[in-house]
Amino acid sequence: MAKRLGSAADPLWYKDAVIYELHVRAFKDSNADGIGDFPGLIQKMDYLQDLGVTCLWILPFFPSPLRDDGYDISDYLNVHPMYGTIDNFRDFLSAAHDRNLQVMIELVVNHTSDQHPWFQAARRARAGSPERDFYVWSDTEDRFKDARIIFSDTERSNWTWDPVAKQYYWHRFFSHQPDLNYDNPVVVEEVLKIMRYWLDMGVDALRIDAIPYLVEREGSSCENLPETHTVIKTLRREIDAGYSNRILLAEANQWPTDVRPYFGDGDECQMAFHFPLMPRIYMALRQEDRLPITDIIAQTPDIPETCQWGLFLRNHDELTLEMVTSDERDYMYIAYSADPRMRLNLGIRRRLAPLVDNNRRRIELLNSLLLSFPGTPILYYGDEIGMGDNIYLGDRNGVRTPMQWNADRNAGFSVANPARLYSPVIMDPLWGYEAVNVEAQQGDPSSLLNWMRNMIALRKLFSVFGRGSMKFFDPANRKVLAYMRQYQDERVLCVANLSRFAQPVDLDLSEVEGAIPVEMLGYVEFPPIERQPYRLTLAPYSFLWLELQQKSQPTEVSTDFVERVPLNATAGWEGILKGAICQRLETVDFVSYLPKQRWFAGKSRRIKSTRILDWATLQSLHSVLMLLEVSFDTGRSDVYLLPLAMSFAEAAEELQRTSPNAVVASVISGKGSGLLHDAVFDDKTCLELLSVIENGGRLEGRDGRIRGTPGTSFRDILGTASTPLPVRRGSAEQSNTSILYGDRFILKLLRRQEPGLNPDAEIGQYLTDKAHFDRVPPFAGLIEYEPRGDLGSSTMAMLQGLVANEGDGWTWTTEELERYFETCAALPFPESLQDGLEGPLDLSEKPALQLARDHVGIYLDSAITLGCRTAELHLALAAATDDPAFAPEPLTAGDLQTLLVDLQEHASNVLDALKERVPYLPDDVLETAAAVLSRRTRILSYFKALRPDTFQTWRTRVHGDYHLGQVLKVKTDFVILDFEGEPSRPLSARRTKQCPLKDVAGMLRSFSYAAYSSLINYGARRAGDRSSLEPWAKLWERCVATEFLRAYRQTAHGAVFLPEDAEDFRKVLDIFLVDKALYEVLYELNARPGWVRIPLMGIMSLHL
Amino acid sequence: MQEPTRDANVEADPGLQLTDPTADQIGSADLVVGILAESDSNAIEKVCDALRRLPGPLRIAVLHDDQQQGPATANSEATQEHAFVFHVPSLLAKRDAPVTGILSVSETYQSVFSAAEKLQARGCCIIASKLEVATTPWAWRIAQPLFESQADLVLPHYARRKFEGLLNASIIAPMMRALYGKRVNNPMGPDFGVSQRLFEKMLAAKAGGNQFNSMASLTPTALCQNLQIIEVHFGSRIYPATDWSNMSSALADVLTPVFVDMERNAPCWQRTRVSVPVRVIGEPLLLDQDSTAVDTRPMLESFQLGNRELQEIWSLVLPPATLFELRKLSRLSVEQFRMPDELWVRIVYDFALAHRLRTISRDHLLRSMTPLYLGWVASYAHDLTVAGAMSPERRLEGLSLAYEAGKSYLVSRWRWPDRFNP
Repeated sequence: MAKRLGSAADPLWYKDAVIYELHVRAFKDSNADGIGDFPGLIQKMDYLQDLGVTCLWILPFFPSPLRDDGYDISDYLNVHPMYGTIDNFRDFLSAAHDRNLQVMIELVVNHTSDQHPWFQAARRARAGSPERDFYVWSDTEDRFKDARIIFSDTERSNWTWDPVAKQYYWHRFFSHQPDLNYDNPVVVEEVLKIMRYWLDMGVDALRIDAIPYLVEREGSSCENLPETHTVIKTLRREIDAGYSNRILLAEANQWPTDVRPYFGDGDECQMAFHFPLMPRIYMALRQEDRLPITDIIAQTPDIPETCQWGLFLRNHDELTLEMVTSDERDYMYIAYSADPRMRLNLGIRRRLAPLVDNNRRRIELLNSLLLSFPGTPILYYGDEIGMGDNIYLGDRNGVRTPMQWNADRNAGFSVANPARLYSPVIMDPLWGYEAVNVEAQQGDPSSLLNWMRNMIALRKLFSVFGRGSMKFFDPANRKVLAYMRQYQDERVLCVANLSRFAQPVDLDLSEVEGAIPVEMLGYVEFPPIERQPYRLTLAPYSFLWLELQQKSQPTEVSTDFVERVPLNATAGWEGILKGAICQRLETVDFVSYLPKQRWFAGKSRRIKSTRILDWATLQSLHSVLMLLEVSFDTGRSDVYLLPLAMSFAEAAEELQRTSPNAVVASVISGKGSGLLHDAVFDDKTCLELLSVIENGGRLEGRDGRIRGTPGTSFRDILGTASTPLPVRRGSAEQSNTSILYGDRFILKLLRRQEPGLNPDAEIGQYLTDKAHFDRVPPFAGLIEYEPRGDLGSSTMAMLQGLVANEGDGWTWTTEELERYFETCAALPFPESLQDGLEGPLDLSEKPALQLARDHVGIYLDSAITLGCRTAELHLALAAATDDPAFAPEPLTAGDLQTLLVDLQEHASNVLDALKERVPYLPDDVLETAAAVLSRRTRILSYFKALRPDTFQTWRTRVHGDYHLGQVLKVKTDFVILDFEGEPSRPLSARRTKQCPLKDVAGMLRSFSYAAYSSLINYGARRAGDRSSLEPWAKLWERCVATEFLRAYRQTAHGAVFLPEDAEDFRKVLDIFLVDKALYEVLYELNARPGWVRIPLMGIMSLHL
Repeated sequence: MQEPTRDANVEADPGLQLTDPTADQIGSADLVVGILAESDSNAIEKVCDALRRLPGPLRIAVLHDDQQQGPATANSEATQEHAFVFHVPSLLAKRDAPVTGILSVSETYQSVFSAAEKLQARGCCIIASKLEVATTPWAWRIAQPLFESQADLVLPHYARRKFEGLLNASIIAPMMRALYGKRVNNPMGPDFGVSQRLFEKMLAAKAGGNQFNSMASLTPTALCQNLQIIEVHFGSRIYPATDWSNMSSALADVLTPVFVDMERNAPCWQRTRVSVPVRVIGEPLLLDQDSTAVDTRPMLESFQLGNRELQEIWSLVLPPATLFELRKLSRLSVEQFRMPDELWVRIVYDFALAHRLRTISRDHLLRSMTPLYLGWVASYAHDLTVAGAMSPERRLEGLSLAYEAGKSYLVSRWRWPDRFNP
């Protein structure tokens, strides 16, 4: 026989399959003999195709005495005459393959019928002969005593005496089903021949029946033996060597961990049934509790990538309760088989619909689980129309009655005399064929059949169901089962209500924040997922399949794929920045260019449009400085500074290669093809910008003027350096762009433009030129834009002297802490400090601890230096001046009162947010969070308790965003940087005068962060050390803070901004410390919930 | 013994194959160009001249049906500057087909792919437009991106006048844009450039299933496989005159493969949410728009007639709200008649769904769409002829957006085709 191809093109086809299990005998009778047959089945292939199933599992159809419904085979290579001929089977196979349906048949080779010629020959052959050796024989019943009896209702032993052979033969099932002897290689070869016969014909899959029992060994349960796996591997090797896209499915009614070996390392069966899941689905439904399902899934081990579980709600056997505990079995019997006739062996012999009292919602719910759980769903014939059963028929025949096609005689199954049918059709008023049949349901748009067809089609649209991972959610309401399926970029959230009443559920979907759930049946968009718990309400027994889609990008900005026509630049900048080309730049090029820039702050918003506000060419005409207004779909518009240049030839190619994100558009001019790009990447432009400052240059724009101003230190900084200075670009900036000129200057381009003086430039210039404070980078000049009219100027760029340094304070500190923890890890924490340390302010009143110096070492000196420099900065900013922007002002009681109200409101909001997020915090944070929340009243009262009229302090310009990252380590000293304030706040707010202790609080919180974040990082590498090092982290923080505060107070002693009384100092400082820590709490709740403990501990350490 | 793989098992009609002796004679080619339209020697030679402009060294086999051209010849070897072009006549010879007497368009495409595979070509081009209407630069324009930009599919973007190619502009192009998320103007060509990767997929797909139309499926296949598509401005294409009085066959012929592909590719297009432009090469050519008006009266008479006679069929396909709208439209005068794009889009989508569900005979179904299509054409014509009318491009862009906006309607109907709907 010529070998035929399998029908599946994809080697993993079984993962996406929907399998339909049927018995030829029960499906359709074509020759009026009362028994279904292959020609009848072929007549119904269109129905199966229309239903949407993709693989047909045909129960045994081989010649057989039919004492076990065909699982007692007497000829493996033929078709039982009742069902047709082998040619009929081939026709059926072709008909299935023509419809892209795969076919799975049974490989029942644990045993044969006792009528099989092999057994008849064996019993007649002499003991020890090759023929006898096909089966397992014994002179006594004593062998394999540890093997259980599976059909305990009918069999008393696994051995049966054969009077002809005069020996006992081994059988795990009925006594008329002798087990084959797999220790005989000839048997294995015969099985391979059977397998090849059907695979050569084109069969796509083989279900290996009773797979755990193939081999027997003394002293074992004779189940799942290693030798059995050797046999399976042999079968699999044969398939892999000779065929493509064919599979084996293991029937092993075992626990998942015991079934797992049948997948091997992907070299045994590709599929196996998941037996224990089925009863637990019914249990969960009846108990209205998801636990039975989540428990069994938790016990299900991972399987190889190419393998798959076979899932089912019902099949041709009883609802088996072998894989449940005895209590669970009792419950299931009570819940699902009130009538004892419904029970058989260890199971319940009922179909799906009768099991759930024919409740349509329950049937749909169970099918929704079947179709969305990880595995391949297997439907049992008739369940798609909700067929009933007949418990008055023997064995499992009650669930094997004829398929109900229509309301005609014999349910349209056969035109034979009803008395000839192999089984009576179901006839009662509720389940009878006149009420439940295919034809009626095909004509009813709301029928279960149509529902099933739609659901199957929907499942087939999404690979995630067959191939994706599964993760359960753990909402408080256990009547709701919620899980996420994910495969590549497909994510589906499934939520099912197991209860007969409506249920609410809050799901923590923060991991997919921003995604938009789209209900998959009706393609209905749900509200986007936010960080807060996602609230759903589910109708009784309802389910939701929600595809999680990313927020769609508007089509207007999806221009990455466009190869745009190059801009015609032959008319120079005027030609580009006017008319149609300008319009294209504004509507297309800038819209796609901006989101790719690190400095662009509007990435989370959709750009609606851009508009060139003004531009001016640099003197060489080589480049322009442009102000671009960007409007968004929400919120206010922003203005950005864009220096633009054009490059051609090699320079353009080099730029395209090294910095493609800097390219705005292609251009073409007399110089050939080139690029319009960010001028920062053009050295010539960078030098021109320096020149504008140096020479006080003026550039005329269309609606304003660009003016450069050198600082008084410019010449000193430039010194005798040879020009032009080499240009390089900074790499660490977020919101701005830096250009470095040799070792002399750094030019900071302020990308987001706001009217008014930039505080960094303003304070830098003041400190350099007026206060002569030398612990900041010297101010060297600026470029400003002055619009025509009364509109205020804005700072485009600031030039500073470049300070040689050893890195920023944060990096240096964390490196020091790494060394500190390394040293302390081996030491016991000093007993003298076990009872805790006082607060830093108290400690700063006392002599320095020698112990602290012993361990913290030279960092204490740095803390002292930093305390001094901070105080000196504040003193410089508080010096008397006639400049109103800097002149200190008393912090009046009114100012303080306003401040306290703001801080109190902020505190209240943060504590609310913390309370809301408590259920989602990591375990090690919960206790601290609860402790902080328990202090809510005390925290809020603390703001109220502070009496603004009882002490006096002053407000001055301050740093505004002071922390270790804002200082540079310069040998043994520090230089303070970046006076821009918090970039998210408006410019006017950043320029207001404030209490300098806000900066002090900022630095103290930074010490705390350094200590504990370093501990987290250190502990991540050495998990055991984290808890033992926590006291050391606290010690470091306290000691460093103490020395910083001591130095600060000593240096600033007598300053107007410093409350004279130590208690007043503490109160004001604590206010800012609480506020800063609460700010950090909010930040960490949103960004890193695992780190929120750091600021929470900071709050707890305060004596409020 | 290992069974043959599916790919190796591909067998197209032997009558369409490059015979082995001819393949041996030719050896291999980098590019295969199939000229599908009947053409004379001069026209073919012009195409070859254009192809020689491609930078070498390339071996280009030009397949055509002109017996006068003689066997494969070599006029020079390929150089660094120029491609080497040789003729392979008669390879697309018509087989004896007692029923139709001609090869179907799809089969002809497939034969070019088969020839390209046999010659181990890196790409192939199909010039299906009649050479009298195609300009000679088309040949190298469509070939060039295959080699220089590693395109998998090069699609034409023809300049068109407002009533030319309307079946494409009103249904196929905007619907494919909405479905597959790429803005292509002529997804069904008929002139194409195809990479080796894509033509191999087409050959495999053809072998793997029936109802596969190569011309209609090229673009959806490339889109679903996420292959690179480049659109090339071709300039003007002369369209055959439209017989508005006999649109039924055209509708059925064109929409059948499109709807079949929709069914096949449902898992792909239901993932796509927004459309983006594809890479475009060249500059658009602006044509002087034809100022002559189209007589919409017979179209609207057909619409009215359909509304009276086809209610029974339409009611199986269209939901009540649409039928209600159509009834209201049928009462309007010629001057007042406007079919909103949203309505038209829903009609198209509902017909696509009915085609999938086999609600009625598919051919019958598509033919019954004719009066509705003519109603939309009449509406379009009115929109473009009123004073201050918008340009055809803007008008059709609006239609495309309506297709995109209506996609969620299609998806929901497709997934849950309950007839009890608004």
